[in-house]
Amino acid sequence: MNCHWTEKVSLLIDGELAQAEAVEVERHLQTCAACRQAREDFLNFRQHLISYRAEIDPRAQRAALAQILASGAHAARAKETIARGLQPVAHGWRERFARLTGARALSPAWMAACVLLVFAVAAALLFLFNSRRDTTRLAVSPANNQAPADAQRGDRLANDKRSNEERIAGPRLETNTNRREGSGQESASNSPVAVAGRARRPRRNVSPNIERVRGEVARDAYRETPRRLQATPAAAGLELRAGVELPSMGGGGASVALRRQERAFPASADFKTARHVEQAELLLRSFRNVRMADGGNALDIAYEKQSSRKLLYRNIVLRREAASKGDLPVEKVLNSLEPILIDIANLPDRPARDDVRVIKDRMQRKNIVAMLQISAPRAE
Amino acid sequence: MTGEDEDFASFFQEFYPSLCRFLECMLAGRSSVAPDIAQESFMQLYRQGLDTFAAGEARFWLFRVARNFALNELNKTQTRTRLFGRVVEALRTQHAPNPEQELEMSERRELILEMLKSLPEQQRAALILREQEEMSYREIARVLGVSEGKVKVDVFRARDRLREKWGRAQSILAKSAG
Repeated sequence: MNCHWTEKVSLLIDGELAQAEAVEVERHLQTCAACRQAREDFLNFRQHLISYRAEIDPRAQRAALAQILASGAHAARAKETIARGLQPVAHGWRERFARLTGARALSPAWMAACVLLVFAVAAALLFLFNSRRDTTRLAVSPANNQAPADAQRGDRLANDKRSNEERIAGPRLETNTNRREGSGQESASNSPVAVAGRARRPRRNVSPNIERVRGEVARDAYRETPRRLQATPAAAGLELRAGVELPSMGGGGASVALRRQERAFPASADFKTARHVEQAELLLRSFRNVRMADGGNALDIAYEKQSSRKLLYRNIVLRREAASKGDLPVEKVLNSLEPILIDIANLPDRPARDDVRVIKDRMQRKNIVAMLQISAPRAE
Repeated sequence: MTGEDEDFASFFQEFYPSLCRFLECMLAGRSSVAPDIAQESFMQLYRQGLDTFAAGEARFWLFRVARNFALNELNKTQTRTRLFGRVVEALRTQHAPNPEQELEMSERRELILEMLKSLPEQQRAALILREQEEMSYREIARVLGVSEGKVKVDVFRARDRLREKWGRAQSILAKSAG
């Protein structure tokens, strides 16, 4: 039971009472057993809290400091340069260059002019390259009955024709139904070899119109028949990563989403993140395809569980790294992946069919495998 | 290493252990992520620039940032927190060099963390900053972004609540030992 002075006892032990009030509380303590007990308990728990020691790994501490200093080295140097009136003060390459060319050579205006000049030259080169490529494009011809070895060329020609037709008739979204009912080019241009060939061909030789059609096809095909595209993951992934501008007829929102997906993993995403996402995708595919053990009601997922635990730990580290770098797209992808890994890792060794189905349903609702496919740059 | 980096490194060495301790107690139950949050907090401080703070202010800023990160962590879905904690604890247990010794050493820590976990977050933060970091009520109020009067009330209520729980826990431990 607390005396109404107990709160003042708390202030007393913290030294937060004025002198006169402290004396008064001390006097009260001499007569009140409840308050004395309270003071003893407060001080007792204070000792426990003070004695609590964090579990710190010295190597991890040193690594954390090194990482922080390494990440901020350039920013700090830039700050220092600005703070000292735009004069180079350290001894790096910029300073040596400045000494060669004169102190004002590295002024911001001069550097901005150089950057603009570089961009202008790059834009001009790109424009020239594109215009030259368009003028040398081959004449279109049907691509029926192409042999698998010629499927790449036939496919390019077929797409050229489609893009020409679109220019005349207006763009259309190609769905699986359209393509099956269409010009009969399905057998050659959509064979697994042809699709894989499209995936392997360097993108830079393909015109924007072809890219647009491919993006539409892949997007619609995946939405409607995800199982079919799963058979050609590389093609599906790269097709969706085309991410080019879709026609404005009903495709505006999708084109924004697709471009956003293309930029989900920028080129700056490091190798280990790409590798991690690739392994996670393989794990989720394996989990999705797990089958009942013969003659039993339980599923054997020991391998998936073990893999999930390893990937979970790495996912946490990578997610935090991405968060600290401010890499929101990467962080978002890893954030979506993490609950699934936790669920799989937490399953019993031989879970019931329903336990697994719940997770599979969640994976399907979130479209997590597709997201990993279209997000991850291939770790090479 | 520049002078600024040296100052930062000294600051880091001085406050990293106490920040980790604060975060472990705040997160109580998810304390395995405390080092990550501590590193993030120091990263923010480094980006801000240690020399932009007046003397002694950097520490309060650091703890404020760390506490906000800890709040974000605590606010994540309860289910995920529960599952994550189970998985990480299982992983840690697998790698414990001596499980019995680990249990003995961590018994008190776990009890303290359990006590703290039972407190509301504001009371927990106020009490930890008062007892472990020896901050004044005014300093705690600056870190938590509340009034000094609230800090006084929170510290007292936290202590009062813990009195009862700690006493009960101690008697249970005494009975099981005896």
